[in-house]
Amino acid sequence: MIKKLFFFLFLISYGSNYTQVPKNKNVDAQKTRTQQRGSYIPISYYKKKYKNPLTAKDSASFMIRGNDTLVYVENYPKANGVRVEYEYKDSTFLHYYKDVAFQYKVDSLKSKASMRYWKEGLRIYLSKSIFGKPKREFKRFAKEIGEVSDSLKVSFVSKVEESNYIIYAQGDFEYESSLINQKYSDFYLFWNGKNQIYKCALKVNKKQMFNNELLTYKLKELFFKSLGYFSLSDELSCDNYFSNCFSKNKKLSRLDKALLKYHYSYGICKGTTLSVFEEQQQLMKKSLKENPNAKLYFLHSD
Amino acid sequence: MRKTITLFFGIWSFMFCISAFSQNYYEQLLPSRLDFSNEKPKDFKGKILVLEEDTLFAKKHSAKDLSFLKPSQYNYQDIIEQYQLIAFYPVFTDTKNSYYLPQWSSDIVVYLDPKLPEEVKVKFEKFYSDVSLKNVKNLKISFTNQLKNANYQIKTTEEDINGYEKDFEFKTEQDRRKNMYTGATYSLHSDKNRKYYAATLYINPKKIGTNELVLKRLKRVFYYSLGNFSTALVQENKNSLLDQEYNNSHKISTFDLNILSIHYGVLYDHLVDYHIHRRLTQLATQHD
Repeated sequence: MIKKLFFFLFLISYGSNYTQVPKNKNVDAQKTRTQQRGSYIPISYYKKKYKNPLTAKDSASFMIRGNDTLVYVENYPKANGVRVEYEYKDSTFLHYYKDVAFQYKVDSLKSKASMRYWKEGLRIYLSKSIFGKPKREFKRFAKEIGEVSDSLKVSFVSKVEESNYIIYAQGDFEYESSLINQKYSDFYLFWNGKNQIYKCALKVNKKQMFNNELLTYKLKELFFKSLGYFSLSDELSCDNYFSNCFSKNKKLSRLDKALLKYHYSYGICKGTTLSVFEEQQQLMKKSLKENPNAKLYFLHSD
Repeated sequence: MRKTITLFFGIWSFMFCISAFSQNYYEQLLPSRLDFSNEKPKDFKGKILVLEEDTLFAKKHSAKDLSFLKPSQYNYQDIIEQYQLIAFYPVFTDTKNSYYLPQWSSDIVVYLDPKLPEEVKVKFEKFYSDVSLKNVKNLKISFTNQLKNANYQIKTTEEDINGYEKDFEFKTEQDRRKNMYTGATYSLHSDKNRKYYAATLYINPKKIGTNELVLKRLKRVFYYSLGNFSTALVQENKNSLLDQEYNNSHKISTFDLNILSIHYGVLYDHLVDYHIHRRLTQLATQHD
């Protein structure tokens, strides 16, 4: 955890060095530093990383940030990756986001719950059993989902081997062994160590969802949940897809879209546990409070 | 005159306080789900969500009327206790697991299998279309001739189906034959809030026997599926669909209607277990 925090502080200093213009510094000083292409890092981290004692020159470049003293290090090694500006959200929004994005089975594991997301676009294969109105309605819904965020692409393929998302019905060829004994409609997700989802199988029971309306509802409900292994909320009205109750009038609400977009935004750290997410939010908000004009970034290395 | 006005105002304020207190207590137990919209209601004081391109306001929900939980509303003095036994029976037998009250949150539209005897279909539809059922708040039952419009299908089968486990033991063979779930069962589909939205009722008419027996069974099993009620009835009442010795009356009994009125008095926004239900009952009756 300590390591993670240091790395995180580094990201803040890294980001601020190149983009932020501190109120108490003049533009010339900023230019000079930009040309030097170094970084500000916390002094505590400096002491651990470097054996050399701080010099008078180092102390001349100290910068105070909140309770931290930052020291300037020339030619500081840069991490590879893409920087994306931190996306600020207020506490009400984050309350709903945390509720749906971090699924856990028992309360004691809440802080360790991770957010999961699709790294690559979804390539959906629909079996022959999904046809007519449910197929059309589902495709329309999937298209609407694909328009919510640039980071969540949805497409359809006609060959199962080209897909990473299979939708089939009970009685079809069993594409996913984990669902063979599943009597009810359900899905099975696969994710890697970085909590990146890379495969899904969704199976519907057409005997139970016995007409087009029920089948369409089930397909959309399960598909939506599988977009992030979401936990559905018991605080939102049933018309929202992020709500855990049935409604005939379910539609992708403004809030659904905003939460989904945020989940796929790279202005947050991806694949983290709830506790890390909360720490990051706290730290970012603290930094913004101290330097309201600061621009903070997340570095995504993969 | 002034005294009367002061007294009236005092009573009114007191009643208002009680009502406000009750509503707050209900909200603490079962907070209303929030419906966010970009239309700002007049005198808005609720939750606000600031999104990138939008500001959303949570709609305020109206106060819940819990008078349906007052025993004085009904002809049966212990109706609430009887209801709780029927609705929450599993909690008395298995204290380890919570049992949550299930409800149909959407209108029930029934499709009857054309293979059912005509007489059974007609009488069943007439029974559950009775005007007295229309007075049960939050419960709507209608019929359709097309499966595509239904969310509740009643299907005949020739398979040997039972609504209990294979190893379930009866005292006598007669008890087994008379059991409501011998030759009939249902499968209900609910969301995470224990609200039903789809069901299939299977019945094996050949196994059950005459049209009258099939009708009686169908009426009973359907009634149970309205709340996944338990078969534990404390008092004998042959007019009731909940009684094993039900007399197959032409009209639904007052008792059965009362049970439905209690069950569907409010569509609960959250899971309701026996303990919460008891607290709601106390809340409803404390100022009775």
